[in-house]
Amino acid sequence: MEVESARLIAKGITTLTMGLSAVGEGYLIGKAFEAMGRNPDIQDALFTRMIIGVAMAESTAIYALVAFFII
Amino acid sequence: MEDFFRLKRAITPLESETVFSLFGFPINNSTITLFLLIAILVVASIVLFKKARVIPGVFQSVLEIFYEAVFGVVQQITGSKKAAERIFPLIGTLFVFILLSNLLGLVPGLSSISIAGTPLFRTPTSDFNTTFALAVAMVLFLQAVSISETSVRGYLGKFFQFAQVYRGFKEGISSGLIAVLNFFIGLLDIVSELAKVVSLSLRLFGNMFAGDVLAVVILGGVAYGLPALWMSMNLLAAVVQTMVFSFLITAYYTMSLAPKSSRSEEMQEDEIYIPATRIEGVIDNRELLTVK
Repeated sequence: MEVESARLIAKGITTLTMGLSAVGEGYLIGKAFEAMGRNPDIQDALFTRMIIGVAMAESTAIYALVAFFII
Repeated sequence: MEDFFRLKRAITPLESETVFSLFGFPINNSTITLFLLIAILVVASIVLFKKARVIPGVFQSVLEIFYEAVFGVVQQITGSKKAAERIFPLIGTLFVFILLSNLLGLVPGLSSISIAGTPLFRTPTSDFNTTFALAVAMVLFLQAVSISETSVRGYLGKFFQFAQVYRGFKEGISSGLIAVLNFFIGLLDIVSELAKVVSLSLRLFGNMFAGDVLAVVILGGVAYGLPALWMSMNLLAAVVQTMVFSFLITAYYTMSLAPKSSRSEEMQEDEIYIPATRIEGVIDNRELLTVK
């Protein structure tokens, strides 16, 4: 197998792994909405914290993106 | 006709390009953007300092809103006002620096200024050297805080928990085995410090670099309308990433303070102290069911 084709296959595999972080983020956002429904008074604070939490959960997908650009 | 809808440009490379060399020291385009940022900040500080009034004007009120917002979140994370006031100069500086670095990369037209083929400006935080330096400096600061709170022996004792193993085995076999488990977890804490450096730097770098690259890719696809969507998404990502970086450092700082010192200050007026009560005994259910 040539190096170029192996490199392209590796790039494809790194893109696939980002799907799992989407599952985690969806779970997190669902839990945040549930908490907002239980206690509508703290909606703004919950939304801000949720955005920060989503950015944290996104970080593994960002590592995969960086690996994609390095390969 | 195809070229009417697209704008083809080279994808920004992973490493920033050297624009010129100064006494053998290469100056890259992200360094030049950093100098621009420092110049903007210095000029803004001088102007604001001269125009500061007790009753604020419009610009000063906006800045005070930002100050109150960031200080409120830092106070919430650290849990006490005194610790928040100690750490806030660092966190505030970090916040302003990273926010302006991220936003400077979004100013339209800056990336098309080029000298001899290489672009002159580039988002400072889209260069891995900048984010790595920030992350290493912050993690070293956290270690220094931990050493200054307890002694050097206490700091090393967090990672190599020999005393707890000795004490655990003196109590009994089961608590001794738990202490051995905690010993290995303490060794893993060394790895987690390195993981903090890697995760902090890579998260900020990845978001900003991917923003730059995807802007070029989208411009190569459709140059009208669609890049505006991506630019607004990048604006949100710029603000969110600065918040994540700064407040994560605040959370690490709160965790690396010795546990007793984050409780040992006197009560501030806005804190409520609920003492830990111990409820002993068993509530008999049948007593609650009888109607008296």
